[in-house]
Amino acid sequence: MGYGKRVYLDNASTTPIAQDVLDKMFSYLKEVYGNPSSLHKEGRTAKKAVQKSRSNIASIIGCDTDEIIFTSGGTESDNLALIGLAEANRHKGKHIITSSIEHKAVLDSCKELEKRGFEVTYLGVDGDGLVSAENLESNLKKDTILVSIMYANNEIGSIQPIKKISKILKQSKTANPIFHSDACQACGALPIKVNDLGVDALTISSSKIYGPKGVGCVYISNRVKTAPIILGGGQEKGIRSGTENVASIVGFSKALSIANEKMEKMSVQQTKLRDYFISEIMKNITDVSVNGGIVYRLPNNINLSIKGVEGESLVLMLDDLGIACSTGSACSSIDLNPSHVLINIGVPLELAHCSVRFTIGRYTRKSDIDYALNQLIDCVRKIRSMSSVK
Amino acid sequence: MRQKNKEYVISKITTGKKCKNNSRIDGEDWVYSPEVREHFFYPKNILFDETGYKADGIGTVGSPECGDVINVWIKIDKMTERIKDCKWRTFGCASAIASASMMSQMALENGGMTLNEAKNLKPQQIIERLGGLPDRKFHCSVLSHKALRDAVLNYFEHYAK
Amino acid sequence: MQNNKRKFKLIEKLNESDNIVSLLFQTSDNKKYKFTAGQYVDIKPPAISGHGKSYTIASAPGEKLIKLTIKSKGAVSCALIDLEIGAELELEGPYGNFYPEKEMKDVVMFAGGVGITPFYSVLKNKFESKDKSKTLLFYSNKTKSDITFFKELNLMAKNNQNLKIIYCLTQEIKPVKQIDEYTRINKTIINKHVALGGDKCYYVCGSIGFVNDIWKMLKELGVLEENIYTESFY
Repeated sequence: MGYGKRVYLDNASTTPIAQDVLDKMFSYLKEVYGNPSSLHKEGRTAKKAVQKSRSNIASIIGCDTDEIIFTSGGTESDNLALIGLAEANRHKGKHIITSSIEHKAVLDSCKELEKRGFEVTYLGVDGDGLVSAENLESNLKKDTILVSIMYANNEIGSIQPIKKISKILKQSKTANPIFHSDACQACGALPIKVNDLGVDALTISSSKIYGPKGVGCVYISNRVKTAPIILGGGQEKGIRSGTENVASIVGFSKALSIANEKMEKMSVQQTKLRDYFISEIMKNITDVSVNGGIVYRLPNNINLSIKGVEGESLVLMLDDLGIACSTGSACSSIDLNPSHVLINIGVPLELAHCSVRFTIGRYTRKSDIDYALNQLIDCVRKIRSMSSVK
Repeated sequence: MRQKNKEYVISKITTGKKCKNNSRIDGEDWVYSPEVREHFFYPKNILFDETGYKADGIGTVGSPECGDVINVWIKIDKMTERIKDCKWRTFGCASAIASASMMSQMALENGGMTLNEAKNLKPQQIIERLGGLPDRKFHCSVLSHKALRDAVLNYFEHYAK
Repeated sequence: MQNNKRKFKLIEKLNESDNIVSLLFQTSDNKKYKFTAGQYVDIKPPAISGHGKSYTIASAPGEKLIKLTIKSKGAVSCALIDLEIGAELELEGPYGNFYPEKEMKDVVMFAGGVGITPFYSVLKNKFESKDKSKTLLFYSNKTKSDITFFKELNLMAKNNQNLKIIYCLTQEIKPVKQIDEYTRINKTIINKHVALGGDKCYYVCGSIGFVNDIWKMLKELGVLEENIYTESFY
């Protein structure tokens, strides 16, 4: 391989584990093996580790320690937030509002709730992928009990006006629903103090912030009631049963601390690389469009449609050259439908199939971007030469 | 005793790998087969520019909106009624590109397919030669089958009169 | 490919078997819809945001209403089955060359589940046109209640000595009236019922797996590639 190492530009999918996180976790994996629910010393040691991690995470996001529930990751946290909060509050109403560009964990949870008799409004977004707070307000009903709007989108990086929405929900005379936000992508890039944002529930995933996979949490304010979706031993205040994943929780907490410390610096660094990458692509490749807006956009997100170049073929060709990225094309998805996010921001079908996403990470250097750029230019030339779409 | 167990474990892993290969041929796991890889990275018979290419039959299937398009151009040996050239371009994923390339190779093998053979070159035949494709990629081979068939029918329509 | 879209109105729904429903459509302009038996149409119901799907026409070309026989599996199929009577939608086509021109040859058909649809159309058309060639149909399903068009097919076989049907059930506890085999179609069964020589044509229609299996078996039994025609539902 010419470059000598892989260039990983799929950090929105998942991130490599940070060395400090790995180092911290190792001793816990090996030595702190007790069940936190046990009475003996091994159990108490494990419990202490979990509580310390919980308390750290709570202080970073500005909530009480007991408002953090550990889960197996972002998907489970979203499921718990949607289904758990809805079911626990169904006596107050059955209407839920979300956006059409949420992660499937939120959308599919909503579909499940519809089967259980809830009514869900899926708000449209504009061409930049932004929800209109006014539009949301006009969709509020007396029996709206829950609103879920993701802080930043995983595909196009669009950042929603969470504070504005929260203000509207608190001041509304029609309804004051519970406000949840999926912050898996925003975490590490944007401030996530829950009281500043004005949310009652928030999802965070360890695998997106250089922590271990298989762990995450959901913040659920003590102001609101929630029902469990996983039953059993009664851990996490009975809201999420199951023996705690101690070492991963410790790793997650460490990862969040590091991400929080590095946030400002990373934001500046990645924005620079992102803008450089986009402008160089525009200079060197014709018929390219950026998907999503540029102002309210995550610092690390590049999502483009390159005419005549089907996404899966580009991703595989780049992969062979040592570059990892992803696509929203139909052929790359399990259900053979193109990305619902791209369709909902108005990207024409033909261009949705030509989409490619690069997401910069903590370890991405300018030389990596330059290498990716050169290979991208070559691959586009090759694929276009054999394309039916000229 | 320990040595023996170790050997057993190693041979089990090898057997496991073999089973995985077999299921790949039946198209269950999406792993690059060597054949798909070859035809994706070194596709055969692409027509980069059709100006001046006097095709006897042309077939076009799919649409950019669907995410799959294939154009096929064929030349027929009028004496033997066999395909003497088969070129293509496609807008599609790796499986679509590999299917088109394999289809064109099969059309030209053994002195070229007869028109009857080409008309009925089935997706199953293309997939078998590619070493298998996952079921959700089956439609990629259907596209190549239809495009070649359309090219032959186009020839019949315009030239065989 | 031409862009042939026409508007149709849903007139009737029929429950064919456990999870298979027939939808009967009429052209909105009341004019005849021309197609060849075995062809299909492309549909995208309004409720679906992604791709539409292709569905084989189960009615014969001479019939008044267009019949689509659909298994309730997958988002598009379920959305179609949920349509209200009177709903209008666009059908694009007809497309396909599954059942080609040579109608005089003896034919062996293999249908897996809802793969019966093109054969149903072809058979109705064949017997109306007084075609004298012989047809042997292998029809594979899980249980007796899964068999679509059971009564209609048996009536056709009763009235036409040139049609023979071999029913194979893969999950039924035998014995069941009128059923011939209680296992998946295999080479032994094919050998048992088919004289493999001669100039026959073989048609296979069903799921990707079913068609692949039968195609392989036929080749192993020495049937020439050019005499095998396949259509997979996916």
